[in-house]
Amino acid sequence: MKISKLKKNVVLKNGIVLDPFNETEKKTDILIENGKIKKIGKLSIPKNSKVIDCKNLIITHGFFDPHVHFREPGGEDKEDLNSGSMAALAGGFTGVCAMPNTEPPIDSPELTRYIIDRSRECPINIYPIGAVTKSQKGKELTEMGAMISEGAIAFSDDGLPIGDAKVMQNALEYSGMFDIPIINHAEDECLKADGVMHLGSVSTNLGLPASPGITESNMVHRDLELAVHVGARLHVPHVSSARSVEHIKTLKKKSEKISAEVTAHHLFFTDEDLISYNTNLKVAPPIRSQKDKRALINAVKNGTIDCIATDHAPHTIEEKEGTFDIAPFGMIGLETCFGAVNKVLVHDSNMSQMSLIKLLTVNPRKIMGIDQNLFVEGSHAEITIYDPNKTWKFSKNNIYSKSYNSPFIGVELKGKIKATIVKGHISQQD
Amino acid sequence: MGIECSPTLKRQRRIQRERMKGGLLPSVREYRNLFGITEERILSHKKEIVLMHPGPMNRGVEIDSAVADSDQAIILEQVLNGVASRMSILYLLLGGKMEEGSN
Repeated sequence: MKISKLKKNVVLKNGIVLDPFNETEKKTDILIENGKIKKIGKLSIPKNSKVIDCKNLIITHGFFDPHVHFREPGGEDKEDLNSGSMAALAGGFTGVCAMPNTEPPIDSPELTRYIIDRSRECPINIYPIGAVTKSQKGKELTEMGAMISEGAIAFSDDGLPIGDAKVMQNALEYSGMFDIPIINHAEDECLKADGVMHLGSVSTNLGLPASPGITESNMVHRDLELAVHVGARLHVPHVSSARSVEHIKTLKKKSEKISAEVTAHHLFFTDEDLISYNTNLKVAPPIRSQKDKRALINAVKNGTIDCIATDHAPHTIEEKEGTFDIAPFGMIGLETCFGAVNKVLVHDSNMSQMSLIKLLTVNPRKIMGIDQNLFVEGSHAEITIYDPNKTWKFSKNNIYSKSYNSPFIGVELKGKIKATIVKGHISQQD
Repeated sequence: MGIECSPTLKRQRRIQRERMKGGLLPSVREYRNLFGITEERILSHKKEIVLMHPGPMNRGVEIDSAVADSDQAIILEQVLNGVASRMSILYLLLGGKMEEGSN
């Protein structure tokens, strides 16, 4: 991947410009001047312009990931905001929401400010999600008002579920004052117990402790009911089970303030892929059955699930080389996201490029309250250019994260990011 | 974000720290930032407003002294009238009679 400062004038020529906000798709050109979109349409190329040939490529909004773990501060052996940004650029993401389960967790206005200050030095836009409770202990609420003033865009104790329903209700009421989403990692810790994978015939064959889909859907249901009762904004992260999808579908009819995301890996893999005991497939919530995967794909297609996230969760090789029961939960996912979801949803499930791109751009930005109309003349260029049809095998060389915990290594993907433009720079890859 | 006032009257209540065991408020700092009545906030209203508080007050938390002791505050009258009202209600409930000609 080559990153360079944008020349004064850059022309993206001969590409298909797909605008997911205005739902238009046409072959035309884009002129970028001093890092800002100057013109979209037929244009005469200014002198000394850098012309990038985008023949057979799609030019669209920079992708937005509502759920990443960049580990800074405290976990810089796994990732930091700069290395995470590089992984994001490789995956076509120009904006990400960083989860607060760092060391210390982002649970105060001062720490929120730290992430905002650090993100200014990074090549992409990083939006901090603040913790719901102090030290993520699930008891006392954080100073959400002051954290929002410093730049927090949502609240989550991600990684740790909020077990106490009353605390969850208070959190929703409090964040409801500001109309900011609460994101709860929904896994009932009592039901999960020592479970490291989905409960089914595969877990029985492997002899691994496992937890069923209701471990998630029970808590998802509780959260949805509370959100409807309170009238507050709730975003359900990384939905993994068919039963959760049913609950979301039903309760979305009662409130417009409910949204949900699914990860690329829950759409791509099933528990049968775990027969190799590959710890890179150990994630929370776990990868579930073929039936759950089908339900997730349908939910994405019918709008029950609003957006795609990576839940990019780096861990060191040493940690992941432990046995399946002791290795930590999580996989990296920024570099592989597009090639995976484009394969599953577009090539295997007949979704259109337009529908897919909305799940990666306007929908997640809308949930997080960020401007969604990016292709406006005069606005800062946040652009992703990709080849929708390129088949390629993902390898270690394609990883820009500090960590290598990806089960996609050696897997064939469909669709590849060619260039990402954000903050006055362009990153390009073959 | 912050307090919303009706144009002419603002009622404030004491935050009841003894009832705050449920962790409803993250911190006194946060409460004061979002809801505290400061001189600055009162001055930001174009119209002069009247201020009520049933007492006792956590000065410097939900209300600043500069506001509580200003001409706009009718807090002492409110408390005085409150005591008189409660006295007469108790009197009537205990069987006292309204005097002739009283309302």
